[in-house]
Amino acid sequence: MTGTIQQPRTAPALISRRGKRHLITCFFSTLVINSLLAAQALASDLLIVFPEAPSPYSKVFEDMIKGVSSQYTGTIHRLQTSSYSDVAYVRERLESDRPDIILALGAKNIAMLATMDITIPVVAGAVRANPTDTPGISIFPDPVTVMQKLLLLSPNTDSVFVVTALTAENGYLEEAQIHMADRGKSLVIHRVADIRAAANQYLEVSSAARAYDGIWILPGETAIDNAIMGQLLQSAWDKNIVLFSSNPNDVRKGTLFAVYPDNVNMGRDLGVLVNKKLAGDIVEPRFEPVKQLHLAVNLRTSRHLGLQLSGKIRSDIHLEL
Amino acid sequence: MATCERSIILSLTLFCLIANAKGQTDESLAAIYGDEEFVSIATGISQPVSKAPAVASVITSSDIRKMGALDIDDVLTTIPGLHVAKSNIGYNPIYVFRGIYSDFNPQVLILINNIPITNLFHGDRGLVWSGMPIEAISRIEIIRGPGSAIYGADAFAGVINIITKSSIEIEGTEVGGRAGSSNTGDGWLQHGGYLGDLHYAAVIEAHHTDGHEEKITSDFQTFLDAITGTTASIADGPASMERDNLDARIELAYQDIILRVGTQIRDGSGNGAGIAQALDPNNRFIGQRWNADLNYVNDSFSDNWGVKAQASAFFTSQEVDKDLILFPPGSTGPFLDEFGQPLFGIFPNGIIGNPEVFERHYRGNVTGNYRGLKDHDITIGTGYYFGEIYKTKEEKNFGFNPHTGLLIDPAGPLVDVSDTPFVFLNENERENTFVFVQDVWHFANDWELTSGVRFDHYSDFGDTVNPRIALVWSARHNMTIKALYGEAFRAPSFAEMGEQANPSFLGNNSLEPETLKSYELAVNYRPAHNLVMDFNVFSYKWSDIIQFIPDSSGTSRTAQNAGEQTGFGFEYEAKWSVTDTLNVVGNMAWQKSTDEDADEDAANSPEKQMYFRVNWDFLPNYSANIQANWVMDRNRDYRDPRKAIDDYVLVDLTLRRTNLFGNFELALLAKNIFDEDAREPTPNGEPVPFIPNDLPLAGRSLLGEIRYKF
Repeated sequence: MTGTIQQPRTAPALISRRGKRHLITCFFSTLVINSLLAAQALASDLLIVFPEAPSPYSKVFEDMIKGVSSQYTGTIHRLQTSSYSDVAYVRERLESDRPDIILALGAKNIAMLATMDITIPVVAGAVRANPTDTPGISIFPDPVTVMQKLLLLSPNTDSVFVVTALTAENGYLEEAQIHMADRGKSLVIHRVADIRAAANQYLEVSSAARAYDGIWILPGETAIDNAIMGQLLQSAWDKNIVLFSSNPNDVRKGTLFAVYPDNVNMGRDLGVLVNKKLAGDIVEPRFEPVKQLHLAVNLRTSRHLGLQLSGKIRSDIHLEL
Repeated sequence: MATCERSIILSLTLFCLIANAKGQTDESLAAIYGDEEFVSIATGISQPVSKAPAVASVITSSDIRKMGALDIDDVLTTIPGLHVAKSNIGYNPIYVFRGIYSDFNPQVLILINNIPITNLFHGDRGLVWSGMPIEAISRIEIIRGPGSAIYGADAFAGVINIITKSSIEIEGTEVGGRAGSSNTGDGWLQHGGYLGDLHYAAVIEAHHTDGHEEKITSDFQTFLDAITGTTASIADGPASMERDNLDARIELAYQDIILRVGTQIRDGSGNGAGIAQALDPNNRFIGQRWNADLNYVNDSFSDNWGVKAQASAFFTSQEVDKDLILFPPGSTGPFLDEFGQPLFGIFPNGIIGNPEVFERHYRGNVTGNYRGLKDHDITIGTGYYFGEIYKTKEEKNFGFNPHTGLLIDPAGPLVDVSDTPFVFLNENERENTFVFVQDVWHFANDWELTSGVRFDHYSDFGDTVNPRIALVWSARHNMTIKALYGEAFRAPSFAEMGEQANPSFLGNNSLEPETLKSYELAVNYRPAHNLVMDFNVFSYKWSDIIQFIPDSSGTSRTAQNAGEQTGFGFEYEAKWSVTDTLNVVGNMAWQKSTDEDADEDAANSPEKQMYFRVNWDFLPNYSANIQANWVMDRNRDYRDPRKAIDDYVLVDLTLRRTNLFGNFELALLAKNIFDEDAREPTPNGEPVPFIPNDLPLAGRSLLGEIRYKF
């Protein structure tokens, strides 16, 4: 290590010698732990329970399983459930496959397994909100990551407004609020009771918003109908408001961008989670929003806003519409 | 046949009664990932449509299936401003964009996965075309108007780009079949999957039909019989429409590299209404098309560069399986003196000519997209093309025998004139190198200017430069206005440049390309989330049209850059999602084209077209699709003595049941349900049109379809 890289005298070293030792220790520890986890996984059976879905949604699950397979080295069994599949059917498969751990994808499968009183550990995925205490990854996009994507595209945005009736994900929104505050910007959260109140609140926000303010349309309880979306799009166009959402359909309609899960990498994260759970590690946080996100951008809207998307930024955009 | 059709209806009804059992998708998935179309794009199943500044339409595999299309022509006929007429030769399609009509239709560029399938012989897709099935198709992109600044030669009246399915899109295995009227039977098998990073897909499709039985009441031989007193004509009789087709495609994709190999074999194709407009029920052609292409695509080659490279090979053939009888046994042929007397007497075996053509095409090109210059998107590209007719063969029983110097005995065996001056066409080759650059300049927030120019050098007819310019204004959040100007060229075919030993038509190797200049103004307006409207007006000038002009001898015609045509018109299209389960598509087109030399209306293309389609998912897993296509106001050539050809409207119905027993799908496809007598025009002739009652299209037909996916 000695003498390979000379740090400038005037600048402190980016990593101290002690830090380097710590880093090396961490690196080898991680290597050893991962090897142990992999060795443990090698001898274990994973059952992935995923729902039947018509194409193209079936590809979402296929990609997630592909990601899981890249991390999990043991035997993987697949159980595709349909609307006919009942508890008895799943129990029969559990008895024949005798898995050491289960990855349940989709709300119905997670709920069904929760009712089955089984001792096999379960990890959950491909679900928005998890009513059980199963650890896993939500398909709700991580608000901090969404804010990072926003500022990447529109660095001059100082204020972002969001309307929500969420309860489960409120904590994540507050994390995003802190993230923005750390950068001298603000995320203003308007909490409402229902969709009607949300529509009115969005219209109020858009009429008060200034150029380059952001309005974030969340999926779920506060999703707005097409008529309100039409008004928001027109208002955003007229006032140069940065309108964005978590539903890629909206990008086609004219919002600046939307994020959506990167299924393969989300699957990899689920695979890592499965390995941890199998090793008996405590998984914290137990159910977190997906951080592996793709970005879809409406270039027509970005040009209207006069945003300068460098080649570097554009190479990070997964879909330009 | 009626029994077969009744059985299909009964079977379908029975299946409709079986309980519905569809697996439902989590609604939360749709809220996070978007609708089916977006999920297809986001998961890589389909590609987003390129935002070319042109008047373009895209039909996806989902649309194709819903409308019950069996062939690409069934799809293309739904596009505003595009009419699919028929040639007497094999009933081959003539894709008529905006009034630009010609017998061999070389003014339209057809690409499969961005690679031209143009033949050198006539500049078309080959005489032995026999259709193209749709199961392997992911989408069809249609550009109306010129595109030579990007695509080069023949992107003239329009461009049709057929994109085939990837492994991801096929996803698993599907087997299917279809049977019905005219002894038609289709079968297909497709499979897509992956091994690590290697994705693979294979599609094989087989098709047989006896062809429709609508009769041609009078043909060229009928006319000759009247003059010479012979009774040789086979009319009235049906066109020869039998087809045995095999299509196969394989795709391998590894990271940024895609390899595709494919074939389209046409074995036992009838020649329609006869090569010489005289019915010939016995001739069978073989046509083979083989293609291979290797692609490298990396949109993020570096921070500022995206790169695409492609190398391809394409082989085609026109082969004669059973003798091509130009005029039937007992005919004198068209060899008459000025008093109408036969020059060579009766041909007891008919007049036979068996021309065969074998072609090779090789292409390589590289395109770079540079994003590093503020407010500009720059695309540059260069490429090389080598094509050759490497073999021509001909046997015949008329004209001079090159081995004896005497006339061939009409009653004797066929004489091989290959590799002699008496063959219809010599072997020949062509090279083309090109370079192009295009800049999309965002010069103000809602404005962009696209300017492009392409330089082509051809080894046989020289250089050509084709520019295009497009100004795009995002006028409102839901309205975009485009003004476009473009130029295009159409390369002379080898037949036009080198046809020989033909008593009627001679080539000319000093021909220049045909040229086109076009102006368009297009508006896209989305007044509501569920309604999209497109409107455009256009005008064009088509110059140096290659025509066969009578020689001073009066007995033959030679290809010349002689004609000029102008045209203008509009197209309007609306797509309305009335509800989640009810979708309506409609379009209309109007054009007025003028033969400037004669100052008369241009012939054969419809001046008005209208199309209407409704798709209704009337129950979960059940859908009905009805479409109507009106073709109106087709002018005759001003010298044609016939009255104007009748308008027609064709109505088709498709009923579909999906997710039956999980993975089965059933459909009933009814074409031309009102049995309309629809006809496409035949060419004018001298002294009269040889098929006076035009080419009848298929009457009512019924097919049943079944698919199973696993």
